[in-house]
Amino acid sequence: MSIKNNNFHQEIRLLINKEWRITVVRNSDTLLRVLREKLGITSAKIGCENGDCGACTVLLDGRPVKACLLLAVEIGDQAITTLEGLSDTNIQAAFIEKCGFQCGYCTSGFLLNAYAMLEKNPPADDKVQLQWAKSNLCRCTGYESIKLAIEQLLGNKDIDH
Amino acid sequence: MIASNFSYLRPHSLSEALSAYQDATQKNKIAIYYSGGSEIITMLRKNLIKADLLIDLKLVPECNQISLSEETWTIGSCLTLNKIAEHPSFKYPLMTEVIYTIADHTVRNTLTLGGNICGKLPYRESILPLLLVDCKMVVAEIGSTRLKSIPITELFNKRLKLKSGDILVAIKIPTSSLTASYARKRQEKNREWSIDYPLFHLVMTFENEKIKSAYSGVSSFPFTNSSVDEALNNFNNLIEERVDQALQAITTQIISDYLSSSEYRKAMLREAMIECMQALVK
Repeated sequence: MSIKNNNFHQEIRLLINKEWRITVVRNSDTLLRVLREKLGITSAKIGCENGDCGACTVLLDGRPVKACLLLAVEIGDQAITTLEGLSDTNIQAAFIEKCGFQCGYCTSGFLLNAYAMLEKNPPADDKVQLQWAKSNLCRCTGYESIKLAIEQLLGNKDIDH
Repeated sequence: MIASNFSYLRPHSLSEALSAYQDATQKNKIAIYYSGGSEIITMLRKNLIKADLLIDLKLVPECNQISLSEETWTIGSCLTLNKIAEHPSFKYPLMTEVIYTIADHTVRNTLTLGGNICGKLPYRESILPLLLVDCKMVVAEIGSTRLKSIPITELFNKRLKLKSGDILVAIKIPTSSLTASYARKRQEKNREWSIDYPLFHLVMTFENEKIKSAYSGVSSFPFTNSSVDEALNNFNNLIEERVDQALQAITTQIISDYLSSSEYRKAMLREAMIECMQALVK
């Protein structure tokens, strides 16, 4: 039996940043591992691999999810967005302007989560912001600059993100 | 990463899922139903459980519905907690509040109601608001073509008493249950910026002059206790006296763990019960 479709492996196709990608995975491979190790999409970072830190956050049909807590084989036709799929967005510009990152390890997760929040809940009040932002940890910035970056966009809510 | 290997199946019907489970167990394989999967993935990664086959229920239509019929809401077990809390029509404020305390917003886009209720962790907080209403659990059983609707009071005792291979399909909640006055207190070790397991989570409702209460984190399983409620409903006594008698009626061991000693947990629970009672019984 070929490795392509034996009991423990299968060939899957994933829609990532509007592009179909085909790869063979173990059923037990998480989406995070497949993105990074099979497909070379490394913006989603390996942090805790326990669903706590948010460094692996990607968007699934526009909703933030933690890629370490999903199996690649369960994604199906859902559209995955990684940081590589965001280009010249105002959220990225705001993070640069407000210095919303230092080492950058958490930044991908924060950007995608913030992007999804702004898409879903404009304008997001403090309570909604806090609820969403609690999903991501940062050890460098102390969060204030991240908050300022997001609030800047909430203040300019008529501008495309 | 998960070091072990397993087969993976995505059935499109309950009968397909049940047959797959039965087929696997007859071959002495370990089959596990997979819903949100966050707990299963974590336990597989830590080698705390083994699986030969994961049966993903997320494509089974009956597990994904949220509908209202004859004044009863039916909530599919594979719905994510966020989908339930953010549903435009289903309004159960106590349940929404409890859901918003579980994990974090991003994880709740994966966590499912059925997965949280049937999980191995001791908290399973999403069951608390269900324990206080007259809800029924819709169960699919191996060898049966019909779904069973079982009152939660008959099915839940420390955990959902499902037989091996049974599937929790959905939860039925009558609309009349959704409007009771309620109070709630979740105590974490560190309240600021806290996504953490609780020392305890207490929920109370007050309806028809009766208090009902449910607890998570106090013992190694969520529970309600009729003797506790009886003490809380003894309106001849002051609130503090009722709470002290209610605490004495808790027969399960109050746990001591890395979050808190049992003495501290009990002391904080006492304060929380008084606070909730004062809010409810003005």
